[in-house]
Amino acid sequence: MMRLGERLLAARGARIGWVVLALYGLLGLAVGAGLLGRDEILARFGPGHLRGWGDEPSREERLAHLDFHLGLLSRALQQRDPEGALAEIDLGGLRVAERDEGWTLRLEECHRRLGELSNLTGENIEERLGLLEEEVGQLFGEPERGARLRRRLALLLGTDRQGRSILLRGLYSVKVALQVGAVAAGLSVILGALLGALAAWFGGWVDRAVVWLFSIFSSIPYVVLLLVLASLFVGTSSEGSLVPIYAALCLTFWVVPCRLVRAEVAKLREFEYTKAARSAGLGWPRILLGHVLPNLTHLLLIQATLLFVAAIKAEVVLSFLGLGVRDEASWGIMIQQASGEILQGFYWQIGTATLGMLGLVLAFNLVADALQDALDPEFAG
Amino acid sequence: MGRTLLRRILFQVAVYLGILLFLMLALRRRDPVWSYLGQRATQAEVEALRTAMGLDRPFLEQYVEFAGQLLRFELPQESWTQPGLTVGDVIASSIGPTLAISLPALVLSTLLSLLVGALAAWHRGRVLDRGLMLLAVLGMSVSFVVFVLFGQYWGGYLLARSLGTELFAVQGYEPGLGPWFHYCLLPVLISVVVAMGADSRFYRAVLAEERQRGYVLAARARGLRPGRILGAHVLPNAMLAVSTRVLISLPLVFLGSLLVETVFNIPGLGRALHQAVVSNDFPLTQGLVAVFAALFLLSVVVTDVLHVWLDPRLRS
Repeated sequence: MMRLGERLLAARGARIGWVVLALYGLLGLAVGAGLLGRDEILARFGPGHLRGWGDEPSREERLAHLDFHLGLLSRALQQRDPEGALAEIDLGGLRVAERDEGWTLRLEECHRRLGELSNLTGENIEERLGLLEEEVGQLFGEPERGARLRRRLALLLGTDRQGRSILLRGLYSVKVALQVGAVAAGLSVILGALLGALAAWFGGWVDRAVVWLFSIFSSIPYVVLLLVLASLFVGTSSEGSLVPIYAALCLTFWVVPCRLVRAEVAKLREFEYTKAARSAGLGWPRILLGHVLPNLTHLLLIQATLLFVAAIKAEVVLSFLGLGVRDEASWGIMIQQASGEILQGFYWQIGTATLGMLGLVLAFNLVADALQDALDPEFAG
Repeated sequence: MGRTLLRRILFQVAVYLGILLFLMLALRRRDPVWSYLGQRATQAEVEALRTAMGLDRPFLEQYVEFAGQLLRFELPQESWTQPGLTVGDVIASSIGPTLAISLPALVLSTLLSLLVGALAAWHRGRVLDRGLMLLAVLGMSVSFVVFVLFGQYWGGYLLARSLGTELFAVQGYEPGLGPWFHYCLLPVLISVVVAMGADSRFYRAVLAEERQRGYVLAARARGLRPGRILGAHVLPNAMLAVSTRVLISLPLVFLGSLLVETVFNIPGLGRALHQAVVSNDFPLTQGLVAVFAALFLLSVVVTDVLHVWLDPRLRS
């Protein structure tokens, strides 16, 4: 066991991979345990396409952000119950200040100055813009310390089109990715292993049927299969949830482990220990589950890591093509939404999703390589 | 040898019939007419479309008819979203653009991956090997979608802005060799980058193993140059693995082609399928998937034949 551990950690890349993977796992668990709720990834934190830390917004963007904040207040004033509407405004902790007599006048003054600044061109409006931003900030109250810190953190990587926090959505996506990967990889490995083992064990017509079945599923290019399977759920109650993704990925991915396990079990069937188990009178479920499949754990483990990565990447493709999750956050949704933002020079959303995914997938790839080197003597790496 | 091949081909026919069965059952799980027309359609409209598509007849009859149509290479059903065009028309018009992208992408990515794999295998364990393989793993860890989006942005928009003329089109397609460079080269290059990570890692593993064989040692002892050993001895021996790999990466090429076609607005099979699926165009979806599967099985058969031709051991 010790030697196996040593071999798993032999390459430096593998060590880094394990550490990164553990970090992602902890993060995913923390999110799953309630660190980040659905409300927080859907909540509005500020104007849309706010840039992240250290990326100065252009003059047009600053004007647009001011317009957003002032518009929010004015629209609330036009409601039937202005007090209630103003009290409801909550941009992730940023709320409207206690209103004194001058508040409404100041709001109108701010509107007027914003109109003026929008029509001006030239160098010296930067300073006036800064003053106006301060003024508008005073219309809103200063959040209390805890809320302020939380809000600053949420805005660290900017906001998406709907003003939602990119950082929080990116973090939540870790959980979704791990969930998609674990369920899809786990189920398809189990399904594939069982079918493959049964096929090889019984041979004959069972074998031919299983081979026929996996040939069918592997002969439809997997994007095509994913598209067709995912589209079957459109219009049902599970549309937009993770269920269609799980189903599509499992039915697509079970083929590879099935083929491998079938070949291995066909070999193991002729080994002494399986023959001994058979002559001892053990039933086939006992032999397969208790003796044959445990000897293929290494293979299943390697397959699971490879499929895990494939599932995460497939989720992005499905979401990009409009057949993914809808009411949650995922890297796929973020990349899909960001496809229009690149042209505007706004990289925060696609950057966050890509880097978040890069870290996880890279770690998985490194670990899969280490597993392959350590567990599979036939693999020439 | 002929009999084994024949049996393999017969098996693929059985697989194809299974694919049709699965496909037709899956697409009928939800009422296709209802999902296309929506709730507001009248009973008469629903009935009319159902009869026109033959959906009111027994499943077996539909199955036999569809299989027969595929066998005769004609798909006369009218597309629901593109009135006036049959499924056959759509496929005939979109197969060209897809081949114009996926074939060059397949050839180029195989050649480049072989080159990178050979370089890495020959310098196994050294800096060049490690650097190339790190690059490959990095490339594999970024989503295809990101490659396509940034490729379009950098190669399309930014390059056009800095050059003053549009060297590569941001979107669109025109047939012909001249327009090919304008419209297709960038999508092809993006598809190549997407495919190269996994491919070059695979070829490195194959070539590294091949290099340890005795005949390489013997060739080196005879004083042959490394380039000659690689070209005349190692590569021919690795061809079997290469042809298998090309077959395995075909679905990936389809995927790349679908994404590229969607983003670059190229009227190919992939984009047609995506639009058909999203807009609930039942006849088109059914026809396209059947054609995709047929193309894939055809390449399986070609690979089988190729193997027999490449490997004399399979001929006995």
